[in-house]
Amino acid sequence: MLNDPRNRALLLVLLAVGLAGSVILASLCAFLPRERYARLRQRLLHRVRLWWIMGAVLVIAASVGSNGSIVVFGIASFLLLRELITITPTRRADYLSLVLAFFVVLPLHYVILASHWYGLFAIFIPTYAFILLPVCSALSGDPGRFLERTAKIQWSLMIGVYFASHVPALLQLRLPGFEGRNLGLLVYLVVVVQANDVARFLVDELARRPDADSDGLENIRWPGVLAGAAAAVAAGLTLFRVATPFLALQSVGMSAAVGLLATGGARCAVIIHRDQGSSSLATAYREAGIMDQLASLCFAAPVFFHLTGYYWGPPGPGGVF
Amino acid sequence: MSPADRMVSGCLCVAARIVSGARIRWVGCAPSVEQRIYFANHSSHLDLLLLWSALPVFVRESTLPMAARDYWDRGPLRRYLARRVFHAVMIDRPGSGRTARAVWQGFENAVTAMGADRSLILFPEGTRGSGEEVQPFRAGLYHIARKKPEAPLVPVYMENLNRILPKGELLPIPLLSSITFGVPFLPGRDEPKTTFLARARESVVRLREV
Repeated sequence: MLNDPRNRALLLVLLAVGLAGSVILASLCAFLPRERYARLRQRLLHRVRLWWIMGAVLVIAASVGSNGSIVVFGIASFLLLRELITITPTRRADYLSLVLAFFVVLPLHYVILASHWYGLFAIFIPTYAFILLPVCSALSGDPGRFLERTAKIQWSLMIGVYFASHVPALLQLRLPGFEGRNLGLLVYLVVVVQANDVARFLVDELARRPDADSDGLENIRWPGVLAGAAAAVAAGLTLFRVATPFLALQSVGMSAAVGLLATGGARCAVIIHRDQGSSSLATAYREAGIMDQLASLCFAAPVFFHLTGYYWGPPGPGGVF
Repeated sequence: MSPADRMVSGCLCVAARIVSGARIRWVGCAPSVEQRIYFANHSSHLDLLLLWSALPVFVRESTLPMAARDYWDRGPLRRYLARRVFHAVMIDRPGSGRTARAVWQGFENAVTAMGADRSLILFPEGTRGSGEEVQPFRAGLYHIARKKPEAPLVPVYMENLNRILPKGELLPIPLLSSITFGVPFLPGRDEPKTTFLARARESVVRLREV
């Protein structure tokens, strides 16, 4: 992939965007008063650090090609799944399901992706894993909160594995006229999601009254959502020509959709964390974890994948992989 | 410790920490080579390995875990680990078919092995709990604290290990866990056994909320 000079140019563009973004955020941190915006500053710095890690991941993905990025995202999925299951109150009876989830479902799902079998990739988790795992939990006969436990394990698989795997799946889309340049779609998606996230929580925190101490759980604040969507569209407009087969207006539509989905995902992540307890230990897991940062990307990836494949893929039946 | 043993123990620590995703938090004190008695809740076979791995190298070198003989003296691998890697002090658990005298002797051995400068790790519940509740502590901790009144007692709470490797299973599920070291305390002079054990158990349970 790196042999293509357009991809190399793309990575340079990404580096420039990343540097510019980091400088902007870092200066913001310097200018904001320390006490009032302590949480915001921490999130901004956290976010900048995440960008550099994601940038490194993208460069690695570009150098090693499709299978290598599958491995990289497989590892990210493992970390996400681990974090999600840790905050889920499973019981002794779920041991077999969890073993299967970590050691069978997760690797198998990525192997199916690597073998370009789109049909099975799309339904393996929602059909086979969703049937097998509850049966395994039910074998031990522990009815305590059975439906809740099962649902939580299944949701962890969906967010951590199924949604996340649609990011490396982008590299396998067959888009006529766009061969070998799918890396741009990855870059586009990641940058648009990040722009949306940062704009949204910046506006949220700046607009927040200083005495209101919440975790973002009140009714959703529309200025933040709109600011996020606007930033997403703006980021898309800077990148679409070099990174995607979209036209300008199509980029506006795609990036707006991605932005709204990413906001939805971030909101879900906040509520999931709050649902699973707010003891300081849970907070410690959360601060060390990556779900907060990656949830927005995970929720936006599948729809972006489908829309791109559906509208820009080969006409007629033939599959998108 | 021979170089091979040192390498084994290093690899084991790394592997244990990766599999258990352990977050190690020294909340009540800092790691130190002073003589201490670390005591923790017990919910999984991983407990001993993990608590031992959680200590920094310079502390680990002068710390002896107490290991139940009926588990750790079976099989060549466990014996090797207990003797050459952990340098564990074997004790007999009551109910494992040994006399009360033999159990008592185990604690005497532990105190002797501690000498003047080595720390100790033990699990006062005596056996693995379910992980939900901390069971009442057995008397061993009290006897050791009486013999070594100047050694601070450090409570340790280990969370989630019962889900990673539940009782009776062989394959660990790679979840996240946490090990919290609390505030050390000393036994009171002439403190009765029940009060002391209750106080010690409380100090571990309280770490759950920290």
